Amino acid sequence: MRHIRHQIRSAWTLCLLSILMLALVPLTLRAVQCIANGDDLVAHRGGDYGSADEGGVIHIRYSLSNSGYSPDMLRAVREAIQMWNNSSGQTNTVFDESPSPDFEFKSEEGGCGAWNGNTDGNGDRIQIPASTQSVAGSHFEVVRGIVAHEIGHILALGDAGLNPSPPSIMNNLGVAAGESCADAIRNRGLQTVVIQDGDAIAVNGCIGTARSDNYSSSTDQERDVASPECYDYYNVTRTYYCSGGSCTLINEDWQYLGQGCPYLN
Amino acid sequence: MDANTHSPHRLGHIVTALVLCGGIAAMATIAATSKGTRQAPATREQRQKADQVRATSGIRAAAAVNGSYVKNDTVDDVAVALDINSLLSRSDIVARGVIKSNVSHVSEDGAWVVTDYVFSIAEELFSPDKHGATIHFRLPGGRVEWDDGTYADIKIPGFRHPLNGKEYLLFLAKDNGPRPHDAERYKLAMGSQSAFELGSDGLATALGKKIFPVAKKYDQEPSVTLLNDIRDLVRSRVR
Repeated sequence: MRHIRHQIRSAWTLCLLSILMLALVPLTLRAVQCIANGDDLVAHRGGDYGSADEGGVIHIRYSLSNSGYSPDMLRAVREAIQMWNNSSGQTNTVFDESPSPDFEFKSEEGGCGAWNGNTDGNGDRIQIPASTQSVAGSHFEVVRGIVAHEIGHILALGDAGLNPSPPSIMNNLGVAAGESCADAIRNRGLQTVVIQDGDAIAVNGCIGTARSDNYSSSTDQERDVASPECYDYYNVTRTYYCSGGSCTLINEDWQYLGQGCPYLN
Repeated sequence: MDANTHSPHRLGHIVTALVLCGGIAAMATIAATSKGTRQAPATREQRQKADQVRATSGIRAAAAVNGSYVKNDTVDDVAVALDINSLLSRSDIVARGVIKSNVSHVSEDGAWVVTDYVFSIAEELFSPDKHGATIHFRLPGGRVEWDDGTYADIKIPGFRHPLNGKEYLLFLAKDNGPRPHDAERYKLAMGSQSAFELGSDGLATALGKKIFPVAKKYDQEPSVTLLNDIRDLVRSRVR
């Protein structure tokens, strides 16, 4: 009897040890994958636009023809595009103006600047509201920075907050009570208005993963931002009750996986 | 100690371990399969095809291409609130209350999945207009399953979704999009910065990214601090 008990106890130990080892291996792999991903890739499913040429350079097409932008605003967009194209050696990505675009620039209200991945059937686009456009002449560098920030979302980068360290074009525009976007741009602007080396390096890692056959957002792996540099990663399990075509979210469980730092790849 | 004496025992240990682990693995597989989210991911080519179909024929047709359509969405903008006063100034209603229900469904234009929440208000902290005891708000994303087994699952990474029966503080703005009924509908006033869970432990938890100033300030702080700061702010505005 004692022998059987001993056998079961040893078997459990072996089993638990093997489960632990099995659990540790994917944890490590996930952490590496997360570093390459960056939240922004996940959040914006960027990096999946355009197609690669024979040399492996990814060409992403954009259009300004439906933007209705002023000459100053058009210049801000073109210079922002040029900034990213100047980093193509690091990003392996080139933006080309085209009548059959992967995404468009549009004038739309709501917020101070946003990327929309065709969530309403009106196409993939970067939306710049009138208030932001109105200061494109007087505060050119900030508006160009906002456009470059939105293009960063297209390239799989996510928001970095107000004053990220290291600096990033993915920094955000702080708005105070009662301020319009134009006010916020005039009063405060962006801390960083040009693309940083770290941004271009991060794009390279993210975009490769985003375009791989193995990448899937269905892994439920998500990031909870703890600081601008390093991020806590979680496996998130959502439980739904579905009936008659619609579903109700019953529970959401966040399991901590570890930390990743997006500029280390 | 003679190694040979213990070898049948070792064999027994290994066999029992295999049986135990096999059982656990089988149960885990059944559990994962029953959630319906562990199928092989679509290749990039398949994903692109599904995206093209969605652009022309909507999300249900896109889900039919690979059996599922899984994507991510965001509720955030380049603009972030510097403080709760900034959040308040962009809100039509700020309220504490409990989620009564949530239902994910395909949006009216057929392009996306959205989730409609019913929010039962316990305390209106700020509201220029008169509101009922219950209001409706909408978030992008959610899950929809069809009779043929296909599904669409749209997520908002980094955002903890409000759950039925839990208490939240929400900064909401009017949502002027199409709605299936006459009731006014709301959305988060400034994306993921606009929502806090008020936990039974007395602490507030930001539902969105903690890099943004308001979330940074109040996350894991006593809920009463956040609520009192808003009450003080509203009182000072009235004066």
